[in-house]
Amino acid sequence: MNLKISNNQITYIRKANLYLISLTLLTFIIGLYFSLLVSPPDYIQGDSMRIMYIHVPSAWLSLFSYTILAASCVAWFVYRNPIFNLIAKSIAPIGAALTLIALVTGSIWGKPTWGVWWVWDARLTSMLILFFLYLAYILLWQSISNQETASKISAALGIIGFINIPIIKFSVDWWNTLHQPASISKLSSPSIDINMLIPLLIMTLGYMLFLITLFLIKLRTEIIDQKILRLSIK
Amino acid sequence: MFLNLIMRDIKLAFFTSTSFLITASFFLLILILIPFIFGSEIGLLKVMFQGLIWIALVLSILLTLTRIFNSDYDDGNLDIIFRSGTSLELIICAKYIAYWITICMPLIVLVPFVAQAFNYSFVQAFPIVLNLLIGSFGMVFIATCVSALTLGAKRTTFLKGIIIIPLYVPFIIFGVDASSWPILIGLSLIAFVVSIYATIYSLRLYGE
Amino acid sequence: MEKLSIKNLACKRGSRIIFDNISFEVKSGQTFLIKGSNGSGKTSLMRTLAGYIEPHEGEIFIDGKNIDTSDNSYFQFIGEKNALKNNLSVKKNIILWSLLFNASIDIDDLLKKFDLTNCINQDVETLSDGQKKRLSLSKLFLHQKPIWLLDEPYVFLDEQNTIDLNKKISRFNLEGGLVIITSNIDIDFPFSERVIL
Repeated sequence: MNLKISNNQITYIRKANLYLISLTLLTFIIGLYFSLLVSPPDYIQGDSMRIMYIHVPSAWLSLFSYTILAASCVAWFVYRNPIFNLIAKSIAPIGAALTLIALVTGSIWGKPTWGVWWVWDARLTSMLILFFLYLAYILLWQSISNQETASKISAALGIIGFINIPIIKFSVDWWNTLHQPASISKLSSPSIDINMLIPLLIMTLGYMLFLITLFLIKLRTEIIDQKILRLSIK
Repeated sequence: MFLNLIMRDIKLAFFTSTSFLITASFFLLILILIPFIFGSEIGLLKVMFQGLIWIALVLSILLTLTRIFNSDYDDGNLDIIFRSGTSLELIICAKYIAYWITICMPLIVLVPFVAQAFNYSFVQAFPIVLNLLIGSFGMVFIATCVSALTLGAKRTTFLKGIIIIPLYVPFIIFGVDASSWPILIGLSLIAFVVSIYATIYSLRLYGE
Repeated sequence: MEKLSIKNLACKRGSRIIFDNISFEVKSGQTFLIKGSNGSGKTSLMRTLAGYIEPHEGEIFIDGKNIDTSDNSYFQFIGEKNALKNNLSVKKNIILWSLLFNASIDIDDLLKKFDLTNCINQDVETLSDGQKKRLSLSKLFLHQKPIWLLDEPYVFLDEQNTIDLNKKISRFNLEGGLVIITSNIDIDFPFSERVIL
């Protein structure tokens, strides 16, 4: 892989990370203060719905990460610059972790709300499949020993997965309406109260910063890895 | 040459003892499990049958997936196929057809008859067979492209399952619904387009 | 055809150069030997000529005509992978090949050429490495192509079989065929020219 990234640029990433980490922590502290203490409890679900402030941002960002992953795979096909494959590779485990967080918190939230840990709700099921799409991408990359081939092949899988997401969403929704009348909806009120929206947005910002920080750390490691690999081949 | 490629794959499948008889027996044995699991109450069996034929199809594909490209790649036959003077697109189409004939066709032929044992009349079994027919093509397209993508991968038996099953979810969802065959056609067409491109792409990469 | 000439052929993988600046010329009726240590790019060179790898630079001429390596009517490549199905008999393997090469083959005649007649019904996995190598080399006679590319053909062959193979190459040369061989070992054969990668 022919990476055109200077060592200076790598150092910038490291320096930026120091600021990002503190900013992330700060946003999380503010966000958690607002969501756990300031925002009012839900009039039906009580305090148990506060998990929404963890659950919803991770669900949003897990989809966002996959979009980034697929976008960088497409960018690789267009520009043939290997950095895009490294971006996709770096964001995949973070996205998978976010999906897992969304699934676990969703399930914890489900226990007091629905009385069971898991229901075959359309959104939960789609998220579960998304998790396996991430997993397939990561595992495929890992199982091909030639790094260059691995990056190019995984890029194809990333795009196939992305094409599949709306299809899965559509079919799972369709399946859900067929098998269960839409009796369960998580957010009891259609329009969300402003006192809940603000902490939710702060938490989303916190998650976003967290995502960027982790992503940059991972990307930096990947770039250095590739550089070492190239040196050892020459 | 195109027909030769198809014949060669079918012959190879038969030589390696995967005759129609064996594919069909495997399929039947999975279906035999249904009454053992759910009891012999005919109403329940009828529902279960519709779903389990799809599971049986997915299992048959997963177990034989390596035959499409992987084994030819490992022993060097794929090199000969590449240089047979046929375009990659045609080679891939030949693979689709040969694989569909050896794996899916025996199952689909069998379904209307097995369905009798699960209290379906031929007329009732028709939509099931139709869905299976359309869906199986889409599934073969996807299987082929996954086989091509994993050519250079190690330890792939379960990996292929992890890649393939999420891609099969839409087919299963619409496959078990009798009236969704138009959607299945759409899905199979999408699968065809994606599969052709992805397979050519990865064969080029691994061909080097 | 009269001669094959290769000019400035180069192959890269990413930023890594596998080989570059390869130029040589072979006339028909000659056998050309390429020697080189492991990893020097012999196999990649052969696979480039055979059309599996796109050359990064350089041109290939046959009788002065610039040819595209995707044209499969000139080169017959026998590489390290033997294209054999281990769990099938020799006969079945050849039947499968005949479909791939679109050729009708006299199986007995082919096997006699390579002294394999008595293992026709044996499974390939029970054959010795030398026998497998000979069976793999028999692919040369499934197709009439003017240039043979033999990648390490002498591996696993004993003295007698090496002589037999050299005889076949000589006969092919006499008929006007052109052969390019890569090898690590020194072989007693009147090669027209040797190149060291």
